[in-house]
Amino acid sequence: MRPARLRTILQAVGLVLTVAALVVTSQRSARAHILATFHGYRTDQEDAQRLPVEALAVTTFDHLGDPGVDPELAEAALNVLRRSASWFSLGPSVARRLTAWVDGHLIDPRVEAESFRAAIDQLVICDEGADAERLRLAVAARAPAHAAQVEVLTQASARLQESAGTPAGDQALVALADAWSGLFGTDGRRLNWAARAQPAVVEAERVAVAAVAAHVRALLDPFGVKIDARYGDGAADDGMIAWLESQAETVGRARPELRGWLRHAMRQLARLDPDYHLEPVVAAAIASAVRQRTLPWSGLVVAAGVLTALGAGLWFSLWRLARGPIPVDVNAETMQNVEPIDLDTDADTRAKLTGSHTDVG
Amino acid sequence: MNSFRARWPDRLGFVVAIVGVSLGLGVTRGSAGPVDGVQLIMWLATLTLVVLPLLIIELGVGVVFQNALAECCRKANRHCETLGWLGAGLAYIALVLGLVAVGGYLVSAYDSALAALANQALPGSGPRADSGPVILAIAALVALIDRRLWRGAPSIARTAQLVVPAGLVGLAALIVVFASRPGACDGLALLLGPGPGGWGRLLDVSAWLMAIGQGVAAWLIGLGLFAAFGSYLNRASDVTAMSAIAVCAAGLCQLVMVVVTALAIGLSGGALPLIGAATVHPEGPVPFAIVGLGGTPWILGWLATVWFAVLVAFALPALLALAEAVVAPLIDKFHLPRERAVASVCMTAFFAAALLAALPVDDWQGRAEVVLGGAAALLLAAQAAFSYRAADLPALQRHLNAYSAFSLAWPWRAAVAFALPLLALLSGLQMVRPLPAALEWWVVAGAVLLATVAWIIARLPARGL
Repeated sequence: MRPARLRTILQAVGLVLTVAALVVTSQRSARAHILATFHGYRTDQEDAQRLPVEALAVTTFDHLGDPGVDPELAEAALNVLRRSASWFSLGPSVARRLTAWVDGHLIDPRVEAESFRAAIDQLVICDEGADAERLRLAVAARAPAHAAQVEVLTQASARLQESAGTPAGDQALVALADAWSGLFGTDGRRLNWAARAQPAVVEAERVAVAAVAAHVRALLDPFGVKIDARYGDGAADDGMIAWLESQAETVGRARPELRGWLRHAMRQLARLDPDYHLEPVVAAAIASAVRQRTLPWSGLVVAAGVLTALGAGLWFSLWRLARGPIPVDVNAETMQNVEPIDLDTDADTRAKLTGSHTDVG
Repeated sequence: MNSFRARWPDRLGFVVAIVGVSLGLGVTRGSAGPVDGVQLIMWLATLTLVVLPLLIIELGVGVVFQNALAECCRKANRHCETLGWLGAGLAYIALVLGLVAVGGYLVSAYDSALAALANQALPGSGPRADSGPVILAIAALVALIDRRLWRGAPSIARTAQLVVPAGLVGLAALIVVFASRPGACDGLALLLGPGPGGWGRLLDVSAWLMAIGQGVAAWLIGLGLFAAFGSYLNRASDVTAMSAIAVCAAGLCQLVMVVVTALAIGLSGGALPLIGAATVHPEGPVPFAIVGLGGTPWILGWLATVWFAVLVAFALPALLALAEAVVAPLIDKFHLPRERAVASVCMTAFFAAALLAALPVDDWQGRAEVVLGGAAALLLAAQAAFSYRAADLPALQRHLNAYSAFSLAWPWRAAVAFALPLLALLSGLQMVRPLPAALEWWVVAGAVLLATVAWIIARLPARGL
């Protein structure tokens, strides 16, 4: 392809891309501007500022139609309408519209559960909690039951409750983790929100978290944290931390396996419920109990390897820089110097005669 | 017309400048660096197998053509000049983003020092409600850049020679303080241990792609920073050895910073493998988390002040380099007086950064990263193509062979041929958050597109070569 033609094609493609980018950017800017306007709405503003925003909210909400098209924008518009003086008249009609939309789509089995989420959230904003709960349960009922997996998780939780704090507890924890993965998936995202909201699933999850938490408390018992004690939300003082440190050192030396079990249990607890609330004293006890006192040998190997690689590279490069260019030995017997050039003196060449005009000798 | 070009004062100045730039780019991008053993190994492999060849390529382009990226592209082929200006534009965007980030660090350092003097708790590290102090800090930074950049490369080197050792001393002080606290061993164990997922993650292809992509993005190779740096080297310089020295030295310095981060994570309890991945992998390079360290507020205040001051110190060479990557093409192309070009770039960068500082962060940060990632991939492809062509130059071959007993033309070509598709993939991967677990179709399409661009550029008739 000739460069000129290529340039023309590239310019045309660039022009199209620029126009497309401009269109997309302008749409996004308009949306961002509307969102900012809604977020900046206050009920104590002057009518001249407030009323246009409320009108914009009504228009936006009507324009969106399907509640799932742009949930963020729809919720922002609803939040404005919810606080406006006209909510008294608007509210019931908006709620009716949302309820009718959900009811209408519930009978269609092809509509996925995720599609209902935005509408139900918006119903909550409309203060229609009862309707939202009814519809949420209706959506949840459409999801597959997963009864077998729920049963396995419940049984695993019960076994862990029985063997909390013992060597068998660690094995029961492994079984519980497998059962949890079987129900919720390895990354915890197998079930959508509707399936996860089923009462049986919610209960199984609650029992599993409680069992793991009980296992953790039982493992902390040798370190001085009582299983049934309530420590409140006060932070541990310096004296308490010093005592926990000494306990962790003494108990850790006597029963080194406890540290591994506790790490395992806490890892699972963080997986099952990342927001699980630990009392500060208990958290400090766990921190002391599982604290590393020496570096693992594999870590030392990694550190030595990384430092050696970088150090050796630095040393070699400095040596090479200090050495400079490789000296050239002009007397070296290289192939070019030794092998005679094989000239075919009989060949007919096209070379011109280039004798000098002044060469008369 | 060949105008006078300033030269680096010495090799040490050049190497320290690159080390400072590498540390500073990490700071301005908010990169946390490797946080466990697997990431550490991947980081080292990226540094030696990907970053080093690419740095040699970009520096080499500058050394061969003796110009900034835009002029290099024009000399290689006049149709490619736009690519070079695209690089300068992206460097400008990166400069503006860096100014906003470093302005925030400067204000945090000031706030921490005030808290220490008043023996009060540290202020929160969240987004600031008032942008006035940040804008003031940006103005101070821009004034400093304007002042230092007037003399070009020698001034960048002198600044780096001043701030990089000072920053390392600050980090050493933090290591001494942190290492004596309970929990420090946890942080080191996390850094040197396998992390969540175990050593098996070393066989995970997507983890490798992510690590390599982050490594390339952390150095911002492709925007012309190092081409501008290379143009201030003599043609006879051993680019390979100097790049290797810079990469190894930068790697060692980055390790010090990584150790400080790991210790702080350990002290704050984040290293305990019990809290979950969100805490183990903190967002951003500010592990100040040392608020959970315990102790009197004024000590924490001074520690935080030292930390933020170190961040600002490391960021200065990077900001200077980014500004130079914008200024140098302007001077090469339009033969402007340096002081006029520097003042213009600094002035406009100040207004752009002040505007961004006044906007909510979420509005622009993600989009800017997408633009930088995609365009940097295109530029890298172009530079790799130039380098591929440059390997044909007898002068370059003689230069390479003068320093090595082996012919380096083919290894050079092989590195470029390997790096091209890889970079395309990785830069594509960098454009999304969260990164996909597997290769998506558009990543492959992007790789093919970039490889095609590079192939076309490599086949265009060259006149400057």
